[in-house]
Amino acid sequence: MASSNENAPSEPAKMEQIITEFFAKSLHVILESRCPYVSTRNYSGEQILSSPSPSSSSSSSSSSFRPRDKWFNLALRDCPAAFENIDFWQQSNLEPVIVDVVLIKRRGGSEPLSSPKRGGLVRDVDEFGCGKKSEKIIERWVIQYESKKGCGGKGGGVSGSKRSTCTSSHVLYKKSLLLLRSLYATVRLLPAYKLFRDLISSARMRLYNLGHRVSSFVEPFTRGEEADMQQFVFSPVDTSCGRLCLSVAYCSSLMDVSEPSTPISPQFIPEYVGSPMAEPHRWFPSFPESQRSQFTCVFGRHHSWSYDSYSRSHASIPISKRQTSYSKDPSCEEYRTCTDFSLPPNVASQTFVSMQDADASDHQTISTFDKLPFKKDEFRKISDEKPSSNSLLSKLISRTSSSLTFAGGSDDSEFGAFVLDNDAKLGLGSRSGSLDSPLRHEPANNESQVGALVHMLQNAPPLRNKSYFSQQSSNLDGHKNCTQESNKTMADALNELREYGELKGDLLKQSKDSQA
Amino acid sequence: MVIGSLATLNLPMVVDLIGIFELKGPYCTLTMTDWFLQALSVIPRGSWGDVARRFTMIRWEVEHFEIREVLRCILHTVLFHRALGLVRPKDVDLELFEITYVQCGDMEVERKIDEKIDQFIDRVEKHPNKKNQICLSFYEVKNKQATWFTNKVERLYWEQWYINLNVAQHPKGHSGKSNYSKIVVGPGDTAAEARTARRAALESSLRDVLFQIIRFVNDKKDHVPPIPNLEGVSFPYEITISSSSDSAFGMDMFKRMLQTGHPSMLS
Repeated sequence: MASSNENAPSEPAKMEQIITEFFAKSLHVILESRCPYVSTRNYSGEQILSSPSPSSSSSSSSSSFRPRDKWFNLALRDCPAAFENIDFWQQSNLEPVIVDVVLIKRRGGSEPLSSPKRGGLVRDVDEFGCGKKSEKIIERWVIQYESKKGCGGKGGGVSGSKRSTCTSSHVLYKKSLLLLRSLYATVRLLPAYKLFRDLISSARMRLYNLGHRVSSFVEPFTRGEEADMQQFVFSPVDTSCGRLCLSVAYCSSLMDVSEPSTPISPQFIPEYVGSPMAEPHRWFPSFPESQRSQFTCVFGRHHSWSYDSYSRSHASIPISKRQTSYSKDPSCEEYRTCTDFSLPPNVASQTFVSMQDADASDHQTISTFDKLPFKKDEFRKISDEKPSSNSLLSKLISRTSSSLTFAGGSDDSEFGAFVLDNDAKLGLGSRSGSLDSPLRHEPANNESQVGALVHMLQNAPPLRNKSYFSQQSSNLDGHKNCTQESNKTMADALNELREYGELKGDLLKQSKDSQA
Repeated sequence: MVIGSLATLNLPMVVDLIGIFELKGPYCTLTMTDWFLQALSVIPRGSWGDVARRFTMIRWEVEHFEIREVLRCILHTVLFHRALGLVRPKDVDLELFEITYVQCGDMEVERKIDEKIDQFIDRVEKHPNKKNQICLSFYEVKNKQATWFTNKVERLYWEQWYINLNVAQHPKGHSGKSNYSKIVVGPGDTAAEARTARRAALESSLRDVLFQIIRFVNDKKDHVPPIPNLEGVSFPYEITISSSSDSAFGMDMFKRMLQTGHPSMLS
């Protein structure tokens, strides 16, 4: 009897471990349903990690559960916020864990709030850009272990017979398990869960966000705040040395939050890849000529491939200001979600777009859209100033296939020709019809296409490089050099292509990992 | 029999009955006396410990198309708290209400519940005027007692959940208003507004019931048997459907006595 007890972990150690894991698990349960940025885009109330139905006799289904899932027999989705926050607490089991779920609303602005970065602390005002915001604690979860007097130390000494202590850890585990089940169900019944679900749905922009704070000590609510809160106290789990307590104070009414959000009204996307508007150099016979001029130069939406000298003329405008103007554009959000369209077979170009799409940083995404569309006046100006470029333009147009949709890069004068205004007198032919023939009937030259594309990508502006715009004015003079640089070998082009493909795969994998 | 039950009331029974009474909401179609008598009617005479714990929901009146969602929500919530094996919970959004409930993720459980709900709906359609009830019971299997007459495995029920639902009769104008204490519908309101208000009240009551289930599960845990090392559902359970008319209380109770296997309860 004594020997068997020596081999088994002691009861106090078991109970301490159960309590420690209970804190971690309960924090996980709370935060996984309150932290919007850790939820996947495909959240639909169903399981994200599909797993076979657990059966009592099947051992293979157990393999789909990770070791931490088996604690309290509850397999949960990944929640990095929970893992980050539990680290600081594990230093002492006796301190309570208090989780404040905070509602952040923007005052007086129409700009939607972005999700907080990993860490979830909402005190950083700059995180949401300019504009005042208000915070309100809508839930306060308190998880604590109250030690009984007379039990010494962390985990406490165990009093009573060994038989009672042997069962106490089992009983504690069972009761903790039941408590966690109730917690899991309760977090989904409280009003804040609806806000969480609204936030993670990708269809609407919201003027509020959810944040959280995890700490051991908080300021108590004021009387006014307390009057708005309701309490739900779970029955504590008694142990031989204390009791495990769990409670929540929550705002029962969050009606003022459910203000009308800005729904993204369905819009036709005239500039989808492959469309006449996105490829004005390729005129579709069915497209009325009268409408071609409406969409060619001034796009309602900003596209990376429409970068041209318009941005050069606005090089003096600070990027932040441009970002502001961009973010006010209600079509921006729509664009982001629309970058998943299928691209033409030019993989490099596809990589270029998906690189920007996979990048979750708003700054990088916004700077991509600094490549503003070519305005016809600018184009006319360039074409008038550089008459010698027209022959080059015609050559390039003849080389590149109609599937090329990017007009970025330093040689905007060349690729800007793809963004044509029918009214512009380009010297390439006053009518688009004359442009059709070289484009339509020119046989595709893969090598030159790839070379031209690679050259364009090589000279594409860095995402945050301000100085790039000042360089563009000098590039107009060096278009001859650019022409020479486009004559790259096939091997170089394929190497570039492969690198971009690998980069794209890495970014997609990272995004998938972060969503999982 | 009712008087006999009253005579055997003890304090825990009264406390639990009072707790059940708190569930009374806009869907209570009984008077206080009727409710009390009905609650007592499901209690076998004798000690409350015959069944360790019993949760009886006040009878609700719901629309026919609401039965499935209400029952799924309640049954799955209970089973999620009793499927104590390793589970990967599944969140399900109700279509008629803004409520998300949790399933244990066991496909077999889901199939069985849907099957029983279908049976309940069939019963309701066949006997719309009867008081229909669905009961979720958890039991332990006692040792087989092979006798000359029966080799039935005896079950020891340690928890039972009674869900009472009536299907609303087609309302005539505003006739449904008077039973709903929480709904104030003016005489000028249209039927659509009344339905909306009724739906909101039902949603509120359903959410209250779920909270009650959570409280009930957490109040007492000692009677729950040790958790076996299984995945998913850890305790055997059964779902039974019964229906009784107002005049058949006695027979219904007699049947329940037979099910619990306590011949001493027979009068």
